[in-house]
Amino acid sequence: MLDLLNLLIPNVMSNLNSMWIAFLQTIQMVFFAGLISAIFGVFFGTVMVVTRQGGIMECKPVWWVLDKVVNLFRCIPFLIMAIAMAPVTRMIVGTSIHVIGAIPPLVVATVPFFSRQIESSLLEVDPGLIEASQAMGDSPMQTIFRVYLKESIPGIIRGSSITLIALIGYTTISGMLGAGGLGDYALNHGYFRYKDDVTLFVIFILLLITTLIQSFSDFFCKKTTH
Amino acid sequence: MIELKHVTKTFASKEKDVHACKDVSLTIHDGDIYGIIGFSGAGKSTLVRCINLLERPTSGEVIIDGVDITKLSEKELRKVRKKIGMIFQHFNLMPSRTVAQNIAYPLKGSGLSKQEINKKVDDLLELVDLKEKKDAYPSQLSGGQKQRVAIARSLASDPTVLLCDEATSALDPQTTQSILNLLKEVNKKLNLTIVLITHEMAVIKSICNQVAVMENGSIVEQSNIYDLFANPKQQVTKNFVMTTSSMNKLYEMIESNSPLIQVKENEKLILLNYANNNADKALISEVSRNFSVDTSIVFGNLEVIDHRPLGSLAIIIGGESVNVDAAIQYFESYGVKVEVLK
Repeated sequence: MLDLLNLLIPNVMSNLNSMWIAFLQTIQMVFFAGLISAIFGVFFGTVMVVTRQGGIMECKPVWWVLDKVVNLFRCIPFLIMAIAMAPVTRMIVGTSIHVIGAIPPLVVATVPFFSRQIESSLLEVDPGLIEASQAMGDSPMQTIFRVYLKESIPGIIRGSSITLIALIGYTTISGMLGAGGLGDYALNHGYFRYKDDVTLFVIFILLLITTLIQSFSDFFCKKTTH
Repeated sequence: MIELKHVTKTFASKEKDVHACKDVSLTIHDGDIYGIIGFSGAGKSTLVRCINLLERPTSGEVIIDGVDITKLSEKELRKVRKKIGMIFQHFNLMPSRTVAQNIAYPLKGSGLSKQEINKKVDDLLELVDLKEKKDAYPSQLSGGQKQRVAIARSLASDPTVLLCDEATSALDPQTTQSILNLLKEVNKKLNLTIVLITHEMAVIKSICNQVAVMENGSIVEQSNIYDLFANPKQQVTKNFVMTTSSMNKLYEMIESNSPLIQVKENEKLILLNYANNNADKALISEVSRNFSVDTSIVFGNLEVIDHRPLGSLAIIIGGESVNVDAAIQYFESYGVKVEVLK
């Protein structure tokens, strides 16, 4: 087995430690940026649903501003945004490199994306359920938590897995800007040194992670759909 | 008691305003099963939503047990809503929750303990006859079963009023009847006031005691159920009454000159409209005996509405014309409306 690996991916095997560190860095970026984005994304996505016209807490100005801000951030390619907001990043976390320096741009890129995912899953909730909840005397907060969020769990899971996979893509770009991780590893250990097996191996790992996320998502969707 | 006073609801849109309800006033007494019937677009769905303020009237008052609820704060309104159950055409059960969890939904925050909630859910399941479906999900139920669960859910917070928004319109006739029977049962058992909107006269006929007919946002006719059927005044009401009667068949037969209703010389085709308590007298045989006329029944529609008989009979009556006229007078003297068709 080891012989086979040495044969197939000699340049990965010769420096396993770098690969392992890069992998951990990617996981860290995905985990922290994902966690923070999840909180903000659920919040903003929900606000966009309830404040829109006909929503249970209709407030057009709030909706209008959020909608436009989300569009603004979604139209900027991640690489450009990460560079453009570097000064802000330094203000927030003190540096624009390393894993910590990658988190703010990752969050800023992921939140609008995830907010839209949440928004679209919540909009799929049958308006009849909202009406029933109101008729039963629920407050707007109860309607949000007991109907909108609870009844769209499968959709939220699906949206989360799509977002998570997109986020992994962003982290590889962060790698180019000094954050480390699998993107940096593929670039500096593979591409620049003409070691194609390193690049291919990174693809293989990303494929594994993506498959894993998708399988978990499918499993929990199935479990929560009745 | 529910009183709507001059309730108007206008939906503003860019092209033109839509007047869903125009100056609607009505009174619904405790224990009534009050039907509101109208074609789609008549504004009845909007009107029923004005009762629990899912739609806020543009103007007018909604008075429930003496309180104008349009003046309440959101928080007070939510309290009132808990005492007004509502069921819907498409049931609106929460798909991620089991039958028991759906029924327990309104009980969260009611201060009841887990055991008390459990007991209540079991009692309600027993009432709607769905005990074995306790842990099923809505997607595993038939339409009728879903509506039973919805009824149980709407009763969980011990409401005094139940609003039914086209509650049987998505169900087949047999299931409709069983749901209507259940509504009648809870009306009696719990002294629950029921407000029911529908476009089916058959639904009105089988359970309501009071009816309002709606057209273009206004209530055009309002009366108790018997008078509405015995003596409809507006054309739209007559049309609705016709939908549950087979009498239009008779008019079709006259139109097409059907051989079944050919009258010979000295014969007349007359239509007798019975109302109130004259339907139980053996008038027809009496008439034949006393006035020496021949009578043959060619068509009829008889029913019992609100425990009182109501019906129409088309008969061919033949004999000396003096006798025929006397017979007709005799019918009329008993309060039977006579219409000579041919």
